[in-house]
Amino acid sequence: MLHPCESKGSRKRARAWGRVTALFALLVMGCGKGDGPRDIPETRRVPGGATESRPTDSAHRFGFDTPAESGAPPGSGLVWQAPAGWRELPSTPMRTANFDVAPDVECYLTVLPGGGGGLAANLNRWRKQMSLPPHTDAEVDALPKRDVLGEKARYVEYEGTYVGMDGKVQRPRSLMVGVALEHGGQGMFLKMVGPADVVRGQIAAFDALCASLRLEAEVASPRAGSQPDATPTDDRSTARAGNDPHASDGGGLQWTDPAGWNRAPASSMRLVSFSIGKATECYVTVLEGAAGGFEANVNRWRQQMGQPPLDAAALAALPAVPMLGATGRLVQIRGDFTGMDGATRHGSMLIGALCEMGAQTVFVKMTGPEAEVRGELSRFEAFCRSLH
Amino acid sequence: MLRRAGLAIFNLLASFGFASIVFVLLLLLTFLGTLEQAHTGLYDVQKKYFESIFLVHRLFGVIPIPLPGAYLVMTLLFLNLLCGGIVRIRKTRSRAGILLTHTGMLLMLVAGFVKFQHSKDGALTLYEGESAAHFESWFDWEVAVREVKGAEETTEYVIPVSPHDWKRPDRAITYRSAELPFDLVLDGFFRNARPMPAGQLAVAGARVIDGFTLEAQRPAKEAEQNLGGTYVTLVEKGGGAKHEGILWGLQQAPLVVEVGGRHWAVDLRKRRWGLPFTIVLDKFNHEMHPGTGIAKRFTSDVTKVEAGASQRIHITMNQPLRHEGYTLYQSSWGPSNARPGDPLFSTFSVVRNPADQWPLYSCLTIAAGLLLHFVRKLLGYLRVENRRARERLQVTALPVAKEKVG
Repeated sequence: MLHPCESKGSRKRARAWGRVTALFALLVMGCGKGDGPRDIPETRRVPGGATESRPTDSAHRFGFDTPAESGAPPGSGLVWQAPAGWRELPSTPMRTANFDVAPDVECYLTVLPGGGGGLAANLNRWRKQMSLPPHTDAEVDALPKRDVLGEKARYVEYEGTYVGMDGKVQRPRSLMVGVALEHGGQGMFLKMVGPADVVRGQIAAFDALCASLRLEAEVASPRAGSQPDATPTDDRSTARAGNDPHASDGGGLQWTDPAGWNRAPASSMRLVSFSIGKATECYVTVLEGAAGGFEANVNRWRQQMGQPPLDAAALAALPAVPMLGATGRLVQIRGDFTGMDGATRHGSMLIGALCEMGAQTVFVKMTGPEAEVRGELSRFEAFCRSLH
Repeated sequence: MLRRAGLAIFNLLASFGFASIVFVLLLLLTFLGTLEQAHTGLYDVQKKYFESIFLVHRLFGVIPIPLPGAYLVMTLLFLNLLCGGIVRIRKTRSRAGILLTHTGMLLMLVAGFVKFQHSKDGALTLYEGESAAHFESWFDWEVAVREVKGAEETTEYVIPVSPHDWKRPDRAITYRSAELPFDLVLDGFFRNARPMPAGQLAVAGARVIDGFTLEAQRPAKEAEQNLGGTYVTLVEKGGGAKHEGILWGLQQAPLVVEVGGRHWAVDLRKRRWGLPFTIVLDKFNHEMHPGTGIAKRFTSDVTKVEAGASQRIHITMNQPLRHEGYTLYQSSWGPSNARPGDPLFSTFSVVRNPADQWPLYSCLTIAAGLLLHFVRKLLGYLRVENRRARERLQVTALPVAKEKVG
């Protein structure tokens, strides 16, 4: 029945508008995606064999355990027999072989490309760690020798106060036993250090370790403790992040050169140096020990950028970046950069990563115009992650 | 009344005034988008200004100004052209060129719409000797689930993830399939993130799984560098156990979970699309400008394998491979710092666009329309000038004749 004021036409129009409104509402509801359960929209047939078959932990999947997983840093192509009772520890970039001998006694082998500055310099560095005066060249020549890898290696026993590499440790009545040789263009340094009385009891085992050292090529079948040759990384996971999947190495470290970064000449202080864009550079430095400490180094960078030092709370809040099997700290500083040449560059930015690894500290530092550096942040992080 | 309202709307849409407003808005959006691009990058600007219906532009970074997005404005431009430039325009011979030009412009807008809705855009990177039958998105991600069966072929269950669908990072969505013994819950998606060991550095209250948490990062200006991340939970059907994990765009291995004695791999990676053919990179060639590291020319020799038939093709920067609706452009190569003898890779930009050639047709149509219109105008002008010249001749000749007669 019609209302007196209504006509048939107006009812029809109202119905039509009602339908249009309902349709519109349905369309709007249909366009919005609720958060209810959904069917997986797509399937595809794929060949097998590409994935791992066993559950793996997150540390491995996210690249936080690269050195431990690989078992060794790049290297020397050496194999050895760990003495009985010694606990073999994971290698680090600076420790090709690494042992826990006894409480407070450690032993490790370091292989340095190019000789690492020469035998005399390294032996005197050891003597300095033991609070002893340096050798003369004649004294170095006169040192007793042991057969290691078929060559005559210098053998040393230094007794004194061990101050470690950072100078913070003071351990009197310590003994350092070591052999040093140059082999195949590399400097090889094996040393054991700890309380004198304990170390003396381990010298025979140390000698056995020296005697067991072999070149991997001479051994028919590799075994635990062998150091496989590094092969270039062909990692598509880095390629898909926009990085060049190309591995490089130097100074016992390996890394992946980011896309667009061009190698610049390295120097004695710079393990590798890159030139990026118009005026940005990035380089890696490796220093012995803590190299002054985390706080001092971060604040030194801040000083270079004309910024006040950070307090302990701010330092603790710095973001972490996984690198070298450990956790590095990432620093971003904007300001006016004053470089070694004394020139001040306004509107600059510094990104640094600093990783303390006990025996040495690895610094990665990038400086340049802020706009340019900011655009390189993700590549910088990827580069740090690739270091191992 | 409805008819009157409809007519009013039509007149508004067909008016020159409306066209002027639309063009001013497009100009403004292009200007603002270009300025914004300096800060937020191309991808985000494209999404915000040119693929949106509405947006809020912050003048000087503070004052909010609501604006229509270019998607809406171009839709209105289409309606304006259709109503004013096709329907209402007088269909005379003199306006045939204009009509044709408007048709070409409409085709261009339609081509843009089809590309926006249906195109796929990504990259394919190959080292010499490698082959692939798929390419990967620059920006979008997918969660892929598959049973681990060794070398045996298997089914992969794929959940596309577009970062812009996850504006609320804490949004949780459950995905299910009758063929899977579990439901899969994606609990939030971080557009750019990195996994961090849980500890004092982790954000307070952050979700920790297997000693790790995901830390959100500021999106990169170059959006393809973002590394997505998400928390995932596999809930066994029938109220069974829950298996939690973190997926990250640069993870070295997929998350592998054992459910009912079977192992399932869950991976987060850039969205993949299959190609109807296989591409093998036979040889990559590049030539540098003398004494520099700047590429002068780079080309790829590839073999296209389809249904057992092989075809060798040479791809250069200006000579893409077009086949089956796909276009493979020579995009880049690397590693940029490769030494002599190092293996090189070649990257192809791959586009699947059903309207690939439509802009060409559109331009040809517009050119034909303008040519027709201007030739007609020129001929008309010449005709008028010719007539005027004749008239002037007659006017000057008449007094002379009168004088002779007189």
